[in-house]
Amino acid sequence: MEQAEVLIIGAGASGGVAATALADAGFDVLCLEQGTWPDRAEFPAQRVTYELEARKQWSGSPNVRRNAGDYPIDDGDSDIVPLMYAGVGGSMTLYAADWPRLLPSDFRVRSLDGVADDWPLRYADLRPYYERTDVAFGVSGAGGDPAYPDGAEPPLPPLPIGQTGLRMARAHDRLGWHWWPAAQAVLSAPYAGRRPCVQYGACMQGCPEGAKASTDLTHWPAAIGKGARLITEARVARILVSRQGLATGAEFVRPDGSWDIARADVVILAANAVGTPRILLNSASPLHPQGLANSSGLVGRRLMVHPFANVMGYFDDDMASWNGHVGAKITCYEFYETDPDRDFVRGAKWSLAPTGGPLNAALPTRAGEDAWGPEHHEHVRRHLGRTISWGIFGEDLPDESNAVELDSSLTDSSGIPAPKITYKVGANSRRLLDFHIARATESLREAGAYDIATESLMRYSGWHLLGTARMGADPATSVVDEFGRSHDVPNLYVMDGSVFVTSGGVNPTSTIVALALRSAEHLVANRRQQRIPA
Amino acid sequence: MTTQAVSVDVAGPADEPAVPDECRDWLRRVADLLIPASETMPAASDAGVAARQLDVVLRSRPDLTHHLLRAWTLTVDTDPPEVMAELRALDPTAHDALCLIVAGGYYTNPRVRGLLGYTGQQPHVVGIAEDIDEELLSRVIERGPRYREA
Repeated sequence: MEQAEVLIIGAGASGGVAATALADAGFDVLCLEQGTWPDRAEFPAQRVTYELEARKQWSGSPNVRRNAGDYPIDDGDSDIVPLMYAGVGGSMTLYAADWPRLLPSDFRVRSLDGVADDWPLRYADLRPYYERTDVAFGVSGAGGDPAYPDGAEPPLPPLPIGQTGLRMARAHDRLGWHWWPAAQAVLSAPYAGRRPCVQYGACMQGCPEGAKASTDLTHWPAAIGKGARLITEARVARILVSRQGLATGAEFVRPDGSWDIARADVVILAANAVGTPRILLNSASPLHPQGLANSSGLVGRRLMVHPFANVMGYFDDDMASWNGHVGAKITCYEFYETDPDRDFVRGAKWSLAPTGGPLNAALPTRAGEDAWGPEHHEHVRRHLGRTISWGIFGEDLPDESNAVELDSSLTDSSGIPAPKITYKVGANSRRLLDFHIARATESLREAGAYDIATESLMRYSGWHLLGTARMGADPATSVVDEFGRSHDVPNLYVMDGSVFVTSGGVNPTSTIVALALRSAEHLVANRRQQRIPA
Repeated sequence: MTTQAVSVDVAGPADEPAVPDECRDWLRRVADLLIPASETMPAASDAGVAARQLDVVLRSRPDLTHHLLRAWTLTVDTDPPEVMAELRALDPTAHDALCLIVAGGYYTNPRVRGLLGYTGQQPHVVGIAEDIDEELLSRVIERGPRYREA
């Protein structure tokens, strides 16, 4: 049996940030992580088979990858496949490290646009935490972006924008449209003992340099140095709750298959917006028959995943467009805010990313079509290095019918019920993407593209898992308060993307970690008032 | 796929993928239809797609071996030009795997990558923000804030 003051479930982005803050404050912290420590020597970036491995053992889908630490997900009723990674560092191991913040309007969607809900906090409340997590993770970027309010500059200068970024910047200059060097959690210079990016262009299968930020590099070593304990290959089945309604710990499975208990005064869920509701629903008991912390009925509901479109332009010039960091070279917020003249509300952020290597050019992935036989070489020549791609993340409005539930028969290898995802793309999202695809096409034509290919609503794009334990002030309409504390179980916290009220239209990791830092420090500051089991 | 079909003529070291020579011959014929020679690029078989490059692919992706053997067994009596259409109808998973094996073998061949001028996945030391045009950035700022106060 294990025991700690604070038990954290999940060693990913938010788990690492919370553990560091709590260990710094002197708490006895224990973390249970279902995956293992990443081994950078195993990352495939420098192998010629990199693109082959990206489609299997380094896929973002646990159903494709099937690592020992993964659990299966029934995604047959979902328009978009959920993507994630189990291990220390969590999905940061495979993320693109695009590091935008939510915008002020993202926190006031109901007030401004009459849809969804406002958050119980504003951009100004979160800005100090954004700035501190930027420093902790080592963010590269350029200050002064007029898409955001003023604030501290990123700690490092921007990464190169490359031939493709410069070409599109000039096009947007002619159009009078916004563009800006994208903020990335990738080092442009040596920082905190880590080496800078050397432009492998393989961020989404792990960064062998360690230039891309992930908490196994940026947080866990410090947290462990302060006494935090991290048990890997530990699979949590459920949270245990006393008759007094307090969390008392968790039941978990060790790698040898034996079951064990971790007792704790406070439990923090940091298992992502699929894993967290899975554990809460698996924690149902006679006292909590609908699952733990679920008096609102919203645990697992309002799943948001950011519908994604890829618009690719074909150019005559060889721009070596496979090169560079994957998140974004430049970004565009020209059409992010609601415009009453459009037939949808809210908007999307655009990211300019590399377009992949020869296998990606040859196979019908992204916007490429199937071409074999005598046309094959011309097909590859057109794609490889001669394409520029705008990736478009549209805001996904919450819908209670989009949900994470427990599958009636599917389990992981320990027999723990697996999640089932039901998700349909809404009408607003479809109109939003149609508009943005048309504008991105204009952008690429202005830059000189002779042809355009579009892939809308890409199925394998579900990186941004949000909203399944939303925060709010009212226990009837939310699962946790603005600091992630359960309305129902006062010593149970959620500190991952589950707490998002709305999705915004940007990559969420910077907001997830800023919220986690804010919540963890609130817990520290209010430790005297924290109810704990006797 | 039958056990008998995959157990013949399998030789080589223990770490070599277990693909019979007949299967490699079949793959060579099919692969050259998918990626024929051009004026500047070799055909799939000349790039070793059914030989050494197949071993490269299957060592990195052993899960594809089963699909390859199934594709071969399903179409062993089919004329090569009809193989892909038949596989697409009979077994789309095997069809897609065969495309991946052929393209994967071809584009991991160093000579092919050299002919394409592909220099990806190589480390490059880059200057900090050396390619950002400050004048262009200034004009973005001059156009004013893009966000709504909230």
